[in-house]
Amino acid sequence: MNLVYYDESFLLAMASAIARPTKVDTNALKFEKGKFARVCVEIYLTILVVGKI
Amino acid sequence: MLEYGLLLPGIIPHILYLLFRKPQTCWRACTTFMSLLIDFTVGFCRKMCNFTSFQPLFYSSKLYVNMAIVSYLRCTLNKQSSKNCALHGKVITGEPWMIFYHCLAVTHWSPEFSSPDAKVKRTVVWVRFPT
Repeated sequence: MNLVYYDESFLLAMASAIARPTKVDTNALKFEKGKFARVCVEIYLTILVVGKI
Repeated sequence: MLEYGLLLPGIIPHILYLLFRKPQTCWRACTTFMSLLIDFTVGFCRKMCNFTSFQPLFYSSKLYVNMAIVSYLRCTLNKQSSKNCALHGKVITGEPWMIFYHCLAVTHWSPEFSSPDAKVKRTVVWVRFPT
């Protein structure tokens, strides 16, 4: 994922495809670490997790 | 392929983060790693059980104790050195804690963890989008 997509609204929208997003990692928002963009989501343990978007 | 923080086996113990807004009726349960707990910076801290070393401080400065307990939990859980062994056991056995108006129960992560059989129904995990 390109660095131009490291935006809170975009990351939250993308994470909402998986589950209900809670927050975005501050390292992604400050461009401090570029390997991953972490988003905190709330998933249900009883249903299957999403593997791909 | 997305990576789920909960599903990755790690040395960080599994934290059961039991959260209830209405204690009588609804128990919202979620699981998180310790780093998520550190991110809660606003709020008050109150503990339910006997944690005697922090008891006098609790009434003087709520926020200070807040950060003290959180950093203490992080220290003892991350590095399980021998000198921290007793404190580590106290954190594990002395639950439930009341942190930021949330009830916190701490358990060890077990390799036999299976999500359909878990007591908690919902959990909070970190999803990592690879660059």
